[in-house]
Amino acid sequence: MTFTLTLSGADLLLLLPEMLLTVWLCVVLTMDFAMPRLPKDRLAYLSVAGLAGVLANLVWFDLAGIGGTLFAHMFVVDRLAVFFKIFIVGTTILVILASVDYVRRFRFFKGEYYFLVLMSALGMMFMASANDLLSVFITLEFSTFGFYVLVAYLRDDVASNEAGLKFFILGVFAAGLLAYGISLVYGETGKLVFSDIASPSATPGLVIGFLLIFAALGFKIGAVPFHSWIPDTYHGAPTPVTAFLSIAPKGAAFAILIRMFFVSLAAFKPAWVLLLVGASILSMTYGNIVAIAQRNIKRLLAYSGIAQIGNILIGLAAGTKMGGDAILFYLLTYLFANLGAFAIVIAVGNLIRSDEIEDYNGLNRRSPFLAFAMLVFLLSLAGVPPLAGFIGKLYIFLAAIDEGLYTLIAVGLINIVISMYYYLVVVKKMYINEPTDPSPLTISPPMKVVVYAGLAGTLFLGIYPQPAINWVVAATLMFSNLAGPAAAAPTLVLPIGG
Amino acid sequence: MVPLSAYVAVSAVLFTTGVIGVLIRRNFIIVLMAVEIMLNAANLNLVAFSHYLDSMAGQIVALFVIAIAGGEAAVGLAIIIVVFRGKISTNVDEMNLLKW
Amino acid sequence: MTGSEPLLDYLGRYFSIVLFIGIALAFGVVTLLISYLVQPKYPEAEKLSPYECGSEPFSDARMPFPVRYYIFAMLFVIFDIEVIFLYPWAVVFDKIGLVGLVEMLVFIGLFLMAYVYAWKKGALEWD
Repeated sequence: MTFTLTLSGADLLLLLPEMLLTVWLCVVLTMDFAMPRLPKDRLAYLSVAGLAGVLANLVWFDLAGIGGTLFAHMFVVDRLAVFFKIFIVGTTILVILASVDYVRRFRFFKGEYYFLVLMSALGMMFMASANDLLSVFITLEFSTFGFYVLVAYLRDDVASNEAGLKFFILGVFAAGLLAYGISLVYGETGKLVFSDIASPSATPGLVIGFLLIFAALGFKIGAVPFHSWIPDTYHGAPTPVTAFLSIAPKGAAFAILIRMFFVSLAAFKPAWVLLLVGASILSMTYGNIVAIAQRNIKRLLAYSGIAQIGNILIGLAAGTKMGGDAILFYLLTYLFANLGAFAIVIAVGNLIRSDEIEDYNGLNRRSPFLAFAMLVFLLSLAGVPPLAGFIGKLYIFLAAIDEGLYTLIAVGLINIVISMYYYLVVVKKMYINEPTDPSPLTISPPMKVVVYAGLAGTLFLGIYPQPAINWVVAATLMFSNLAGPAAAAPTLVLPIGG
Repeated sequence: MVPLSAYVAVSAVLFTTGVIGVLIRRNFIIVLMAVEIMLNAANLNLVAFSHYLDSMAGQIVALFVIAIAGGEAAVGLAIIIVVFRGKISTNVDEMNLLKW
Repeated sequence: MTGSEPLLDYLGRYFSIVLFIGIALAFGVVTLLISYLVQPKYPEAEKLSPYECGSEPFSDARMPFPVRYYIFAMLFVIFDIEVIFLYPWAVVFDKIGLVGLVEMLVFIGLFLMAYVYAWKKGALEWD
């Protein structure tokens, strides 16, 4: 057997964003321990500066259309990967800005917090590029290791410890399922790369293997019936970590799910559509119904997040290029609305040290800006026009209509009505109820940046979605062969804004 | 020569043992050990398939699985130390603070 | 696996596995059952106490001991495990040339970074 190992300059260029981030997180860690008296806020801004550089690099990749594969097709850079990397890096920047105030509360290891956030972001960037089963396994674990520590970060808070432990147990269990699933798929096909394992026959080993891999990714995105860690972990984790955990890993996991279902399993679409329709209906219905009973805002957003994942699974169930577009667009709307809502929860939590919904009574009197921003984010999550969430839901339902998934759409519409109820309960408390403590609330500049970014994204994607639609349509061009019957039109023309 | 099916059978038994261990054992450390058994079941499969298919990829995956299992054990023990300080218990059932 | 194979034939090849599981289970159950049926039962305190190389047990084995042991053990596990990647490299290092060497140096450099961090943070101090 002969081995060749060469890395040309062009190959290294594909890895440039990841290498930049690796160097940068080493710099952040070194500055943390080499300069103990450096204010830790500076590390946050240093991290954001590095991520901004990575973001600029990725935007250049996207505009210049740079792409290719590395390491025997393990690592792929295409427009889909670049889209998800921009999504992840953008989320990370906003999460770090939203963490600055919160991290001051920590007694120990303030600097390492930023290091771990960057480390998880790096892992998720590799996830977006994972193109075979080995890199899926490594990158999934790589990104999750950082989160295990981050969730249990509040050492003196028993709830955080417990959240970390529950997250860890289910996370490693999912890793066990994933490894075994990979071993079975490898045994049946002898290959690992997604395009090579597209076997024409469904042998039992292959079916069980893919089901186990789907279960592991289901744990990652928190789809019912693999959701059991979500509420407790979201509740106990430090709130900025919850915000991070509720968005970035979901996006990265969807990058893998899209590649797996659209490339490896394209031949078995009739079989997996049923699986995904089931998971989607269960996630939406369970998430929305249990959310009604919540009294803690973090748990409410956790269950609403499960329901949102159910919505995104509709796009995956459609299994067409348009379904892929809709997933990407929905993730963008979810990023701005969910991160914005968590930013308000972080800001209010920093000020009044409580996450109970009761304590949002009369928020409008205490801070009209926070109350208005929360109103916009919750309505966007519910899917009210003209906000981003409405376009996202519309896009995903249109993709499902093309494939004739009418039951799924009916369930989705009923769920929008249910979700409206519990979002509006929070709105009512903020605007109508009387505050118990009427002292005004003010928020810090970095937090303001995050809330403004969320508002801007939510309004922009809702009122003028065409640039973003063009972007996601271009990102999934490689799936054009999966076009459904009604995919003759190159771009979606939406009733408003477009 | 031992047939491939024997390896797959042992691996399946190991994997089932691991899954059952995670689901029914209540001590956190034993749960962690059960997960390691699941990962080792995967390793056995990978190495056996790698030999019978005459492809190196399986052995490389097995190496990575071992390394990641080591990382998991380290992070898991770190978390359990933190929990142990707070609650003086390693029983999964006593983790009941977070409920809706 | 070939695509045209009927499902039953395919499952038939796995029949030996089913047989194997059955025999393994029966072996365990039968052995335990026989020893349960034929063993004499005279329990007494001395027999149930833990055996410690002949010396009298002097305290409960589950006494607390310094958490520092765990930190050392964890650091050891991590650094130990990573050596695993040196083995495949050692097998082919003469064939993959300079690129392989540089990649391995980067890998070890990242480890050195972690080591310096643990050192600076005082994780390696015994007291």
